[in-house]
Amino acid sequence: MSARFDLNDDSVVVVIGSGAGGGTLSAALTAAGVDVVCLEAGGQVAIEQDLPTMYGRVKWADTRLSEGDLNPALPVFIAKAVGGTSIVWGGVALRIQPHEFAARTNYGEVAGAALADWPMSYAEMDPWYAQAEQRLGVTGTHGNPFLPDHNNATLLKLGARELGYTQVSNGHMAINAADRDGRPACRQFGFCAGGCVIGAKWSSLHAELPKARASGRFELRERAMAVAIEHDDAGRASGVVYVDADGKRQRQRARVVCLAANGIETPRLLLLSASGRFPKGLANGSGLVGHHYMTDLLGRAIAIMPGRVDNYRGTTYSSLVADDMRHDPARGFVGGYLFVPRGIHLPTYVNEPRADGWGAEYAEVMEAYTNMASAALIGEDLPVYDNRITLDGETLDQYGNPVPVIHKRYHDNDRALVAHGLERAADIYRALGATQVFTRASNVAIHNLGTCRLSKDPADGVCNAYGATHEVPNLFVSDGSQFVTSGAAPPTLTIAALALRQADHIVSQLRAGTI
Amino acid sequence: MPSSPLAFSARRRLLLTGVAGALAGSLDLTFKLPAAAASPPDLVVYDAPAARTLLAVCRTLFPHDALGDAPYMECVRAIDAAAADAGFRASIDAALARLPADFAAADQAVRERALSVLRDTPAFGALRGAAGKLYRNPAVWPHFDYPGPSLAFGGWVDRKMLDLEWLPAETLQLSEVTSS
Repeated sequence: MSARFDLNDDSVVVVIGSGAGGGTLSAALTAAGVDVVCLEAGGQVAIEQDLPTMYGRVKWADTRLSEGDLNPALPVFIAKAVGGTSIVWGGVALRIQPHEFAARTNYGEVAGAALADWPMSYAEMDPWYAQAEQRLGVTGTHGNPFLPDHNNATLLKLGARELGYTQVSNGHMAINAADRDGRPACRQFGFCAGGCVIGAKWSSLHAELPKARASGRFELRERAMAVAIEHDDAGRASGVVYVDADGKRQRQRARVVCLAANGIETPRLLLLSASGRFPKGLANGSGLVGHHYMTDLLGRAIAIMPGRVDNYRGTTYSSLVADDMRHDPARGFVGGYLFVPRGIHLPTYVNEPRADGWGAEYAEVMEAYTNMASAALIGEDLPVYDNRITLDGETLDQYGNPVPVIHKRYHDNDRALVAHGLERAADIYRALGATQVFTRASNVAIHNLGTCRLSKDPADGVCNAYGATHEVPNLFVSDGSQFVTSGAAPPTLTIAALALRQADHIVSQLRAGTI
Repeated sequence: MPSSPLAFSARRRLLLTGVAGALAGSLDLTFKLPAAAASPPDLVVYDAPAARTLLAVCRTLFPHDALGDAPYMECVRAIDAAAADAGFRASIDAALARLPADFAAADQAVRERALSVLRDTPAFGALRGAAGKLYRNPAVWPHFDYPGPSLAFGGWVDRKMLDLEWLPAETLQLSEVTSS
C-alpha cells in the first residue's frame, strides 16, 4: 500500500526519478525501513505491442539542444514515465569488466580523453553485482536458465563461430527464462524495446516500484517535475522544489536527497540549483558537473540473408558475442565492444538499413524484410572533458528553466572502435552468405553517463565512491551520471548494483546519524 | 500477470480487421478522384490534383507495385493532417511546386530523379517520414509476411523460432555448441 508523507516531513529520503536507479534505490531503502518520497516527472503508461506508439508514449519530449555529432532533431531518446527508461531497455545485463574499472591505469594516457580509474575496485563491486544479478534474475548467472534460441540470435552466433569467435552464448539477460520473483517467464513476444506487456523483463515499473509500494513506506508522486534542490545554512540539502501534476509549485522537505533523473537531467538540476553558497551549481565546486558526458558507442548491422530469418520472433536482444569486449590496443583503439542480436519489426525497419533510404532500390530492401538478420554493437565511449551538458542562455522550458544543451563529439578512438566493430559484424553475416549488409553508427544517445562522475579526490569528480556529492554530504547521485568510464557493457546492471550499494551506505549513515 | 483471454480475443479482432483491410486495399487499385478540384474524401487541406501528386510522391518514395493506392492514401492523409499547420504546409507546397507538372504520370525512374532535387529540403524529410508510415499500416503487413503483435497468440515461445533450413547442415550443427 502506498504511504502519504507531509510536504514538511523532513525525515524522508526524496528520490528524484523512478527508473533503474531511483526505483531500485527506493525499493532497497524502504525494505530497510526508510521512508521514501519519489518524484517522477512522467505518468503511468500502458504498454502495448506497437513500437512507434510506445516510443511516442514514453518519449522525453522536452526541448533539448544538440551541439556536435548527435542528431539535432533527437539527440537523446529516454523515457519520461513511471518506471523511467527501464520500461524500454533491452535487458542486456552485463558487468563492467575488471580492467575497465581501472581504465586510466590499463589504457594509459589517451590524448584528448579524460580517462580515470573508478574510486573503487572491481573486487569491491563484485558482491553488489552478484546481488544485482540475483535481484534482476539475470539469465546464465546464479542458476538462472538461459533464454531459448531463435533464428536471429542463432545466425549471429553461428556467423561469429565461423569467424573463430569463442565467447559466444545465449547472453545474460534480465528477462525471466522461468517464473520468478512474482513475474512470469518470457513468452518470446519480441517487443522488448517497447516495454514488456507481462513484466517478464526486469524493469523498475514491474519489479522495483511494486516492492517499494508493498513496504508501506513509499509514496510515488507522478508527473512531479523537480526544478530545484534547496539547501540549508549549513550547506546540507533540505528539500526539493517541484511542479506537480496541476502545475503548482511544491516543496518537499528532506533528510536526504537522491538524484536519479538520468545523465542529462541530473547534472541539469544541479546546475539549476545554483545559489549564493554554490554559485556554479549545487555540488559543483569541482566545476565538473555535466562534464565527461558519455553515451556508449552504438552501431547496427542489417544483413539480407539467402533464406528466411523472421527476426521479429523472440526476445529482441538475447545472445551475446563477447570476444571483442577485451582491451587489445593492437586493434588500433583502447577499450572494447560486444555484439547482441537485435530484432526489428516492420514498422521501424524502414529507418534501419539507412536512416534516409528511399526509392525502388530501397523498396527492394524492404521487400526482403523476412530475410533480414540484425545485430547491435555496443562499445566503450571515452570520457572527454568538453563533452558535456550545459544550460542554454536563451531557450526556456515549460517551467521557465533554461533547456539543456548536449555537447557531444566522438573521439578518434570512438570512431576507430565503431569502424572496427561494424566491419566485423558485416563479416559475421557474409560468412553465412549475406547478399547485402548495411552498417552504420547511431547518432541518437540512449545511455547518458558520466556527468557527475565518482572520484576519490573532490577536485577530480562530483561524487565519492558511494555517490554522495563531495560538497553536500546528504545529496546523492544515484544513476548513470556516476560512471567514471562507460565500459563496453550497457549500463543498467551497474546502475542497479550501485543503487543497492548506495542504499546500504545510506542506511548505515542514517543509523549512525551522520546524514 | 498473463493477459486475460478477453484481451487476446480483442487483439485477434484487430488482426482480422487488418487482414480485411489488406484485401480491400488490393481490390481498390485506383483512387477515384472527383472530377472537380474539390478535396478528396477525408482530406481537408489538399485538393484533388495536389492529392494525386502527394500520392505519387509516397509511391515513389516506397514503391511496392503489389500494393494498391489505399495504404498510400493513408500516408497522404497524414500529410494533409499535418498541413493544418501553416508553416508545414508552406514548406510542402514549396517542394511540390518544384516538381514537374506531369510528375504523377511519369514512370518511377523519372519521378525519382525529380524527387532527388528535393532531397536536402526539410520538406523531403517530412514527406519521407509520412510515406514511411506505410509500414505501420496493418493492411500492408500480409504483403511483407509480417504478423504484427504476438500477444494475441501468446508469443513465440511454443512456436517455431528456429528453422534456418536454408543454412548448410554443417553450419547448423554448430548451433548445439552455442546454446549455452
